[in-house]
Amino acid sequence: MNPPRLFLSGGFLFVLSVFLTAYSSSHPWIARVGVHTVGEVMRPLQYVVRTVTLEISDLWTQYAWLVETEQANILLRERLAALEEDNSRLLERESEVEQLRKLVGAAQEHGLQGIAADVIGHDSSNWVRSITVDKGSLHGVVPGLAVIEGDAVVGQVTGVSPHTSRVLLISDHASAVDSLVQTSRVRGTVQGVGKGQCELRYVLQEDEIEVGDRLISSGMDKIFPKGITVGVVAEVSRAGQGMFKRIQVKPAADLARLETVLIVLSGANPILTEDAG
Amino acid sequence: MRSIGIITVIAALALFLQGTVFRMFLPDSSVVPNLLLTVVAYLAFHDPSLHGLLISFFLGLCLDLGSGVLVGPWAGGFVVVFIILSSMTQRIFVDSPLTAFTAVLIGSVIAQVVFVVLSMQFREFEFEWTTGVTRLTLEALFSAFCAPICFALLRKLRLIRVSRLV
Repeated sequence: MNPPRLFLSGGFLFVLSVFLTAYSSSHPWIARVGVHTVGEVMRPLQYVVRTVTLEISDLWTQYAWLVETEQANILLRERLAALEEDNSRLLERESEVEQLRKLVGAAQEHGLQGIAADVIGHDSSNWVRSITVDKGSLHGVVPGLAVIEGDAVVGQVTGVSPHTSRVLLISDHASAVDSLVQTSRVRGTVQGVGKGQCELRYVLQEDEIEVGDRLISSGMDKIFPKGITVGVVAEVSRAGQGMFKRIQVKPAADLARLETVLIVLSGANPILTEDAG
Repeated sequence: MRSIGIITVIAALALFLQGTVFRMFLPDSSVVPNLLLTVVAYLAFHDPSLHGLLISFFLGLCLDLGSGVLVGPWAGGFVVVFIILSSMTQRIFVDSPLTAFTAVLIGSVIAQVVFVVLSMQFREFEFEWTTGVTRLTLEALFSAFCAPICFALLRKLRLIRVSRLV
């Protein structure tokens, strides 16, 4: 193909990309179809990696233990190995039970119904903060549902496939949670700034807010149930001459180390749910 | 048909590596290389035709669809990168590792700039200069360091019809 025709085709495809971007910004179902397809393709691979990693981790733990005990006492090796293995397994179980108890406890405390889901993947690009969890439409998950960990907001389901869901984290630019300062009841919107942090916006300069103040979801956005911890105020500054303060917020959930989350089934955004159907 | 099959497998593998394997061993906030972009650069050098252009567009769509936010920004970025790099194939020695490094470095910057501009235009996306430029630079550098290896692997696969004029 000669260069002018290639340039022409490239120009056409670029314009098509811009059109698709514009169209998908107002019609989120397109992106959801993608999540559906990609999620189903990736799920088996993600499961394999997760299983293999856990197995390797177990093997490594056992190997390290064996070297140590062999030096100490050969006669006690087998017995100790068995005990260590049991102990390791029990600790893992205890950790899982503790995580589930936290999830269930928080859900019960707020009168929520939810489904626990394991995190099996993260976003492929560096510009979007999202995770993939192992529960999808077959488990009753629909776009728009809130996702929490313990008593902390994690994000919102933006796309589902039969067996997986894509969760947009609150640290992403596109995330917004209507929030209240727990003590002063000052209201604002917590928005992601894309680097594991968030900002509390639309808080007037005269409103009282201090570092360490706890932010909870207001429930006004009809997505996140009221009273779930969103984060803690990390820094307050007066940005320029504007009406609003600039407030940095540290998310309550440790978004870098999410393992199990709770998808809140009660409290779905009805608009998104209908749209997804 | 064979090359389309291979490209689909490569796209799935690259997405899997970027979204699962690398993320599993690196902290959440860390930057991972964009392997799909290295495939686009390779195609631009070794298959500067409509076939290569369409595959690049498809790879961009794969990255967009994997994110589940907007469909199009990466596709647009990859098309721009393909056009720019393919226009240089006759002027440079494309089999050199240094060329691969440089092309992917520049291509990554271009693709990310297109991505950021389109995202800012069509979704709530604020570009904070310090973080944004750091992330952009790191992704470009990591991708560029992976480029010579990726190019060598792709060359082994022989997925490209010989359409480049020598």
